[in-house]
Amino acid sequence: MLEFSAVTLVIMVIVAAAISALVTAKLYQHVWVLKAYDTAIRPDAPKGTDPFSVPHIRENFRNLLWITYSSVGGGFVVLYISLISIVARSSKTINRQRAALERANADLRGANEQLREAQEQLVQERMAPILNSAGEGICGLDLQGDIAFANPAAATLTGSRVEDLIGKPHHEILHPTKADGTPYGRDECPISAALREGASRQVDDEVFWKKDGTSFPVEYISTPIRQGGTIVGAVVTFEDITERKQGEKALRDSAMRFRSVTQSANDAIISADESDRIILWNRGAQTIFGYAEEDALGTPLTRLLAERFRSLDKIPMIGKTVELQGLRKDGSEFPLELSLATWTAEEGLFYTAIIRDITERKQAEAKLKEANTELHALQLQLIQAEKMESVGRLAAGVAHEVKNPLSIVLMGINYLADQLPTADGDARNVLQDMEHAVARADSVIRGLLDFSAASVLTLNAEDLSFVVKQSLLLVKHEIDRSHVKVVKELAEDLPAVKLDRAKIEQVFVNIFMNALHAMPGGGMLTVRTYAKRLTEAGHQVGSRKADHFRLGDTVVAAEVEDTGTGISADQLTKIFDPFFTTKPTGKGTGMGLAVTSKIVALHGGTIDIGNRKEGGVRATIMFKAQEKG
Amino acid sequence: MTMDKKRILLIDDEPSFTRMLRLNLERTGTYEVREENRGAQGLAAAREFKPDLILLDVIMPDADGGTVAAQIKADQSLKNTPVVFLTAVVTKKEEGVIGGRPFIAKPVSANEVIGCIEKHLAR
Ligand SMILES: Nc1ncnc2c1ncn2[C@@H]1O[C@H](COP(=O)(O)OP(=O)(O)OP(=O)(O)O)[C@@H](O)[C@H]1O
Ligand SMILES: [Mg+2]
Repeated sequence: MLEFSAVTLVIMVIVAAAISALVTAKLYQHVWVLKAYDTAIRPDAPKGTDPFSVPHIRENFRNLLWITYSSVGGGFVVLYISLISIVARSSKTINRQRAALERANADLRGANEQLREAQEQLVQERMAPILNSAGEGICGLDLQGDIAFANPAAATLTGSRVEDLIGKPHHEILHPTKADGTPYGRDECPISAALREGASRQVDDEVFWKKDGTSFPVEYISTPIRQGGTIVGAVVTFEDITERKQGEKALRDSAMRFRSVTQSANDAIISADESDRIILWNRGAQTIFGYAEEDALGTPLTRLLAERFRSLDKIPMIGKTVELQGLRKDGSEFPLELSLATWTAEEGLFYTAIIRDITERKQAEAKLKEANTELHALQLQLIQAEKMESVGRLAAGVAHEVKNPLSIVLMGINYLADQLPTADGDARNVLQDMEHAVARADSVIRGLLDFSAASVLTLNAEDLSFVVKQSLLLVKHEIDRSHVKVVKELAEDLPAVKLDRAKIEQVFVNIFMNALHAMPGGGMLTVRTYAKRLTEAGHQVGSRKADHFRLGDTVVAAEVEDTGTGISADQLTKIFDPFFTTKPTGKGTGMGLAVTSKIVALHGGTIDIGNRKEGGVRATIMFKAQEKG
Repeated sequence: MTMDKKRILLIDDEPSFTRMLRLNLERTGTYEVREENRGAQGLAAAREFKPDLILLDVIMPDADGGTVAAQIKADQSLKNTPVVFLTAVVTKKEEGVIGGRPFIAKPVSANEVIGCIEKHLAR
């Protein structure tokens, strides 16, 4: 107020002086004008004289000057006084308003403080238990990085007490060195960086050290605390992740093991989700099925199976190993063995199939089976052959020893018959019976010998149909006596077969006789001949002699069918054995089929005897057709 | 009369067989029969008896028929004497001429033997 009035006063005086100077100058100019005028009108006045030397001019000028100075000064005094009063009034108002403002401000500050205190208390009350009960370690750091606050978990985790932590530099307490013991510079430390740069950091590949000198893998987050835009400290939360690390390592290890197992397996290891889409495909799978991993993933698992197996229900297969047909990328099918397991994950149910290509095993199995059957057949043959041979040797010996006494008896009978009186009928009958007995004994021996004789065949190109007709003639008498109807289905123009006709006739006679014996009440005897090309190995089921044919061979066959009793299963295996007969003594010796099969075998042929579906027996004899040219 | 009778030598190790056969042949009245049961004596018996035909067994303990037949064939005075093998080693089916030699299979009836002898003497 004082400065204001002084300054304004000085300014006003200067302005007044300036105005006065201006007015004076103006008046002085007037004086010179007046003087010029005066000179003009009063030519007697001396030129170049001072106007002030003119008394009235001097008087006028003095009056004018006085009036001007006093009016200017008075105006300024009035102006000054009015200004002073205005300023004094407004400054009083301003002071009043400022005081009110200051009072309001003080009130607000008090309220604010109360609010903050209330808030702090609230935070304290609410946060303390949370911080105290938190499993994570929580430390508050000041700007220097010293620990200003630590919760009990922080103390427990670092193996010390809360009061031991407070005030200590965090870096030296928590991680002065790295996991491997090398020093850890403060400038590298992410927590320190949080304080320096205000950046949040999350770290999970470091260790914190405990008071006892041991360390633990840690995950920590450091967050800067800002107040009004400036960093005032940081919060570090941390937890011991030993278990997690172990879990992760275990997981990593097991994943690695799993991968190395699946990738190195020869078997296909394939996993699919519940909707059957493939999610895992190993190298074995690629080898077996031909699809690369990228072609397989996401496609349906069932695509790997042959069409007819795709609709199979998976559920009953779980936990089992089943054999199915697989389908390769190239469209080829192959036998496979599949083991199916299920597992559940958060995403739902999954299947894992372990699949093995068993083509080779199947082939080996088939071969083994084949070899086995062959071996079995061979064994049977060998046993049979051995039996035959010993029987043969026996037969030859027996035949010789028996025939000599038989010939003595026969001679004796012949002699006695000659000596008897012709009238003695009874005696003659006795001798006749004796002679028949000798003949029968002789025929047994002969059968034995036929069988055992290492026969030399007289082979000629023959028509099998013709040989069959001839053989039928040989048994004409027996057929006529029976009530058996003969049906002949004999092919004409059969390829020739190299045969010993007499021996083969003997074969057919044996078979015809067996058929007739099996039909005592009559029936039908069908005799059929035909030629065919062998398109598959093996033929009818039944008791079979050695197989001599190959695929593609042309064979000439004769079939003899009867409508008789048939042969029981256990007898069927014995019918080719020498002396096996079901017929009463005198009617059969059991040598018929033994000799027959021997003769057929000597011709390189086969004989099959088995029961017919319709009843009765079918005997099939086959010979290889003679090659043309 | 006796001079007309044909002389038949039977060589067989079975005495009862040779006796039966001799009786059967003699009852016809046309044969003079001599039995020899030791194969090894067969040649000597033949030289002495000078038969018109020899019926020779094959399997004999001291000398087999084949050997005896060879000796007879080698003897000047006997080489043209027919030898018929009468044996159990062949079967009825096989009898007849085997390897150039006549065979009769045992057992055989007297009439068959006589038929066979007649056939050979007629040659
Ligand atoms: N067509 C057939 N029907 C029924 N059974 C048969 C037939 N063929 C053979 N058999 C049976 O096989 C057995 C042996 O036959 P095999 O011809 O070897 O001897 P056999 O007929 O008894 O005597 P033989 O030596 O007189 O022929 C017969 O006893 C009979 O049981
Ligand atoms: Mg029979």
